[in-house]
Amino acid sequence: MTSALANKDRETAIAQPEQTRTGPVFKPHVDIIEHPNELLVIADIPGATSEAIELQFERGELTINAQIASRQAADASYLLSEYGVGAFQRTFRLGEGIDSNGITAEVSNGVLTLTLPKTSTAKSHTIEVKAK
Amino acid sequence: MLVRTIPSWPSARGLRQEMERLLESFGDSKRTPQLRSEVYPAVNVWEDGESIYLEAELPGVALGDVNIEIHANQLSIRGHRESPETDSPSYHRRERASGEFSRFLTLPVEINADKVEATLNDGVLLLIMPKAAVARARQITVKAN
Repeated sequence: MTSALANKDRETAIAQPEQTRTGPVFKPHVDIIEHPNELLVIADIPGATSEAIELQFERGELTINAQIASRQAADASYLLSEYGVGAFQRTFRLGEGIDSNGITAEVSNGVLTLTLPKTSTAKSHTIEVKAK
Repeated sequence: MLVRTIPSWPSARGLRQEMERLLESFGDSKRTPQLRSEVYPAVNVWEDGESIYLEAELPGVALGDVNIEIHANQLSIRGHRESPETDSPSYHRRERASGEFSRFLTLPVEINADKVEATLNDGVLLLIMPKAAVARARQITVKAN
């Protein structure tokens, strides 16, 4: 009983990646679409140029990180302020079926599109049924 | 959405910043993303003596898909955003909004509609709206006797 409890404590104490930068971090909205040979991850990162986006693939996790600088002077006189500008970050765990060396990314109009090719074993294929 | 109570906004922003700071100090950094507005598109509006500026995040929207109209101090922004694939076989996640959007704002002063500039860079719309001559802040020199 005691050991079971101790184990549970241990499980919840697994270190999660924590933010080390100050300032707000936003989670970009994404669409994930599956095609027969690839997965597409489409993320809204308004204000992001290709230089501002950093993609990292480490131990099966793909992290999108974008630092967006404030576009207004700090002392701007606001009439309405509905959103903040800061960093965008989101991490996805990729399964075995993704060929991580073949991942490509492009950004256009503040939308980042990642193409994640499937490994040959994960590709869907149709099996022909022969008539006898 | 109409905005009428202009004078109190700077303090409302101060309050929001204070709340963000408090939430951060409780170590609840996961809450920060929820402070992004649910109204689409969210806008930031600020001003100086000459102009009113409006910024909206519209990723994936072309300038040709946005229609901006200004009548005196009434501003409307309409447009649409295409869905990436209409006949898509399989969505694992679908968080990005698509379709028609519109925002209507009442600005605190009249705008010189002929001089309005609109740009859309990297998915961020910026409107620079010069105030009409009657509305510009004037410097008044106080003479000493």
